Amino acid sequence: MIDKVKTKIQQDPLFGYLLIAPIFIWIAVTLFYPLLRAIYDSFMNIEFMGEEGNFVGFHNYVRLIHDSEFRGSFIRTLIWTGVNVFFQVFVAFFASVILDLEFKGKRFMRIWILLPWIIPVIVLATIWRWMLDPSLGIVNYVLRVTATISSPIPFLGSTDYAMITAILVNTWRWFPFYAVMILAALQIIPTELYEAAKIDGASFFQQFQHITLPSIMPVLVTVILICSLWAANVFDMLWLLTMGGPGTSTQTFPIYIYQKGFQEYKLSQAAAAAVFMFLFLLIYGTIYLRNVTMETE
Amino acid sequence: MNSIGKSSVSIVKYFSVILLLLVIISPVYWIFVSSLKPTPELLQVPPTLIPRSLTLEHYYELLKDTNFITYFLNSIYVAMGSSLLVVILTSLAGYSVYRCRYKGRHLFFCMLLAIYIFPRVLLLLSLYPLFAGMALVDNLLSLVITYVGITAPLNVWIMRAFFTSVPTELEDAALVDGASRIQILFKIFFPLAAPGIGAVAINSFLMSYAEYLFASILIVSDQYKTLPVGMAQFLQQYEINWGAIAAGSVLIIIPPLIGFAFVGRYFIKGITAGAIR
Amino acid sequence: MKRLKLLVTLASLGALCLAMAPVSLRAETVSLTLWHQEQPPRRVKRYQEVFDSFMKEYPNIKVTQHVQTWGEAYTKTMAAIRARKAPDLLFGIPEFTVNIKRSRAVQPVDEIVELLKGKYNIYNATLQPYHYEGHFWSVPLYGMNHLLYYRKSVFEAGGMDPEAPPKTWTELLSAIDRLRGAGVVQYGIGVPVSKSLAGDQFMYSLLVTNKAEHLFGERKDEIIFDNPRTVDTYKFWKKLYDTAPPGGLSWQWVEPQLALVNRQTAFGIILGGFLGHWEEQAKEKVEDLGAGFVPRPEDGQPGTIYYSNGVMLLTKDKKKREAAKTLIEYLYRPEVMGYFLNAQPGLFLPVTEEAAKANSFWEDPMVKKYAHIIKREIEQSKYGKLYGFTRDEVNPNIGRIAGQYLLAQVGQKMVIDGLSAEDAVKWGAEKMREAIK
Repeated sequence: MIDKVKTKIQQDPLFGYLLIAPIFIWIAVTLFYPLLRAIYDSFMNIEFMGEEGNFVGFHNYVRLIHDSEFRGSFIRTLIWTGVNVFFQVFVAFFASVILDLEFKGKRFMRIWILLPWIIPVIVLATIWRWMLDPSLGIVNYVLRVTATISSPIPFLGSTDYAMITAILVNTWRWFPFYAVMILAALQIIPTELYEAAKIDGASFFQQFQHITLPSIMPVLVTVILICSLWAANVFDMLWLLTMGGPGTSTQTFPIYIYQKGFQEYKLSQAAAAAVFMFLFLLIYGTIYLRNVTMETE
Repeated sequence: MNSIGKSSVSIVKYFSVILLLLVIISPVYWIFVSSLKPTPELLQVPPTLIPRSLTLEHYYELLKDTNFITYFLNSIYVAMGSSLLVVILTSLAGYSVYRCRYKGRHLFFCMLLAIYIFPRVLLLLSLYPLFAGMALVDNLLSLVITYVGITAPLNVWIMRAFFTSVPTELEDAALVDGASRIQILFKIFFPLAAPGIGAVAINSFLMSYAEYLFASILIVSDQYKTLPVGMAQFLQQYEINWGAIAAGSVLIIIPPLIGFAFVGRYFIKGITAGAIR
Repeated sequence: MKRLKLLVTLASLGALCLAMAPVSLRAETVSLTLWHQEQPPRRVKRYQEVFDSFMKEYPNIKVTQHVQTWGEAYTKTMAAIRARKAPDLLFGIPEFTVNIKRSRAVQPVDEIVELLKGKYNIYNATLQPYHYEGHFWSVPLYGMNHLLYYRKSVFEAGGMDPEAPPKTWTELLSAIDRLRGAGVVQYGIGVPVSKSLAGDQFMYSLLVTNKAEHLFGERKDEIIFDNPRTVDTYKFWKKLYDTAPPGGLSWQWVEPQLALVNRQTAFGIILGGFLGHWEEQAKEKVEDLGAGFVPRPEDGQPGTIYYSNGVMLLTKDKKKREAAKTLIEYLYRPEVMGYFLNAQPGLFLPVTEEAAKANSFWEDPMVKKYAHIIKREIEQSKYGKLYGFTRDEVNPNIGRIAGQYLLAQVGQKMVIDGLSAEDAVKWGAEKMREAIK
């Protein structure tokens, strides 16, 4: 990708190194060191934070494979990520199509569509938990008043609904961000293309298939990658909404890691799980980039 | 298209727009309205969509009983500090990665992204002793340092599209004219890449403003607490002060909203430019 | 010139000495930092008042309080200990103390306890969870426990005597049936069964009343949780759950209180903080609130979960320890303690008989209003217990059991996975054994 870019300025590698040094040092300290530390811890048997442990090799990793809770979290993370990406991209696309239209106040909407994204997560979670409450919540009230349901649904308090509810809340939060990106791509498409197609008698769907989709494909590709990586890593929102519950119905990897480390006091196991997740996402990202870059080239 | 057709399209169009608007706004409406309801009405089942009576008591109580202003100023300080540093670090790094050529450039770029994927939760455990060693615990600087580190990789990635979309001709011309690399960087490149830099600044600011996990652990004294941590005090263990939560939430939201009203346009421009390189 | 230089040097030295004199005087001031988790502003304010009057009496001791949430408490404290920035004094509950103690930062407080025992009658239930390995590890300051709450008007509407709350399990179930049958309330009792402290607390109060309060056997590495009495308790619990409003899987402390206030449920087994909620949030009338002991089975015992909140000493510095002792002694003075406890009237209960009689305690307007209920709370507190701390020795890994909220999880297994009480309890016991390995 970088190599695709034509750069004419290239001499003086020293300059390049100098510019990159500050961030490199910064990241080495704040990210790299803890990462190495965590990898190190994953090979020990530390349980409570701050204690010393002994080297146990791959013991923790083996335990993970046998831990049904871990396997469950893995599946749940896949489901969580997949559905999140699907919804977010879907809704983002529809929103961007709407925003692309001409209507009064469109400039206002195009900026303020980002409202869900600006609001701090802690406030969002509070608001949604309140709105989804079976007794005090406005959602249940509206659904009952419009005779959609007969008795209140405990959205976040039932193993059937918690996951999908959390996904929808998370989608609500993120879709505007992607919508703006897709909108940008939509706006570049010259209207002449559509007009020519209409003259040729192309249907709405044909226009979409042959003009719209290919034009926004590059952006979609980027969006899907970022979206999946971010979704997989969601912790704050999910923790504040459900704490991984009820039961284990919304226990994704980040939650599993947090619980193992900070509630069950099994630090090394949490570290091993984190390393596993990291490697998995790394491989996923690499494969994705390889395949996708080859296709769009 | 006949006029009936046109107006039905129009109806569908406006219906969709309004639907979208409702979806975005309703939670904000809800919390705002709730913050003005007196407590007994807040606890009512079923809830009221339009408040029966209004009161400012929650705001008053909040501002009286907590150091809200202090928390707010701390959050602003941290957010500004982080975004400033992020802008500096990532613009320099961005130029280096996207414009310069040297060995290891691509590797470094990939490493940057890779590190970003690591679950943040565990970072906490190693960062604390590190800051303690530097005598930075209970010091807002530790948050600034942390947030810069956490957001930097992604921001370099965000920069990619902007930076690579800036045409190189101007820089080449300046080189030929004998301008130094630093001059090119600051006088030519950065002004052109401004939307991207702006987008990164806003992104970083919002993230630092809202962050809770690290802020709760690294700061001890009340005088240094940031807004999310200070407000968490209202999520009491055994009872919940709904009115205070609602008022507090509204107060937390207002600064970013006001800020965004001013810079929102540029942010959109930035992301837009980036998306379509 | 030389003489002038000498004079100037001497004069400056002299001035320096004078300037330093107040410094050396100031060096006598001992500074204590105290961390606690009582976040609500009114509690912080009340504590500050108490500390301020302490500092007036003892001007050479400076006390600074810092507040954190329970969610942050462990991580923050451990991180601080590791970085050698631990507080001198730390409030906590028994399980918290056990966890922090692993870091070897917690110091024995035997001499302070002995001193206080000599002066006052300290309730045993408050001291017991902090005595093991031959030492006391925390000094109790306040306690919390459950009561069974109900609305008197609901009783009346259902044709029941508002002054006679159900005393036994059977009575509770039949009262629920009666009130639901009469259409007065839709549900029986709010049951929190989220994977949380609230869920555990509810379960445990029931377990105590059924004499199933021991998790550990005589030996502290032996789990006896899976016994018939525990199973029976969960069977009863399930009956209660079946009368509860939906959504209990995510309920914690707030929801059962709200349900009672909103007349959705007839009963709630709730901590004393409910009084504040009733009076100040819901603005309900004191006359309508009834409270009785936690119901027990016919062959059971009076009981409730009991949290003895104490203060740990983390500092080894002799001067600071002396200052801390002075502070704690001050807090134990009945009139001071009475005022200190009313940082949250109704929730915080006295730990000494003397404090339970203090004027400053009973004069508080809220306490005066709800005196009849608070008296009952104090009475009930004498039968309080805490899981994992019912024996003379404490298993250092109790933190892992508590941190996983296994008592609540067993309930979840029954409700979500449909396990029988026996299987669910067995599962729970296995997880406990795993946790203490």
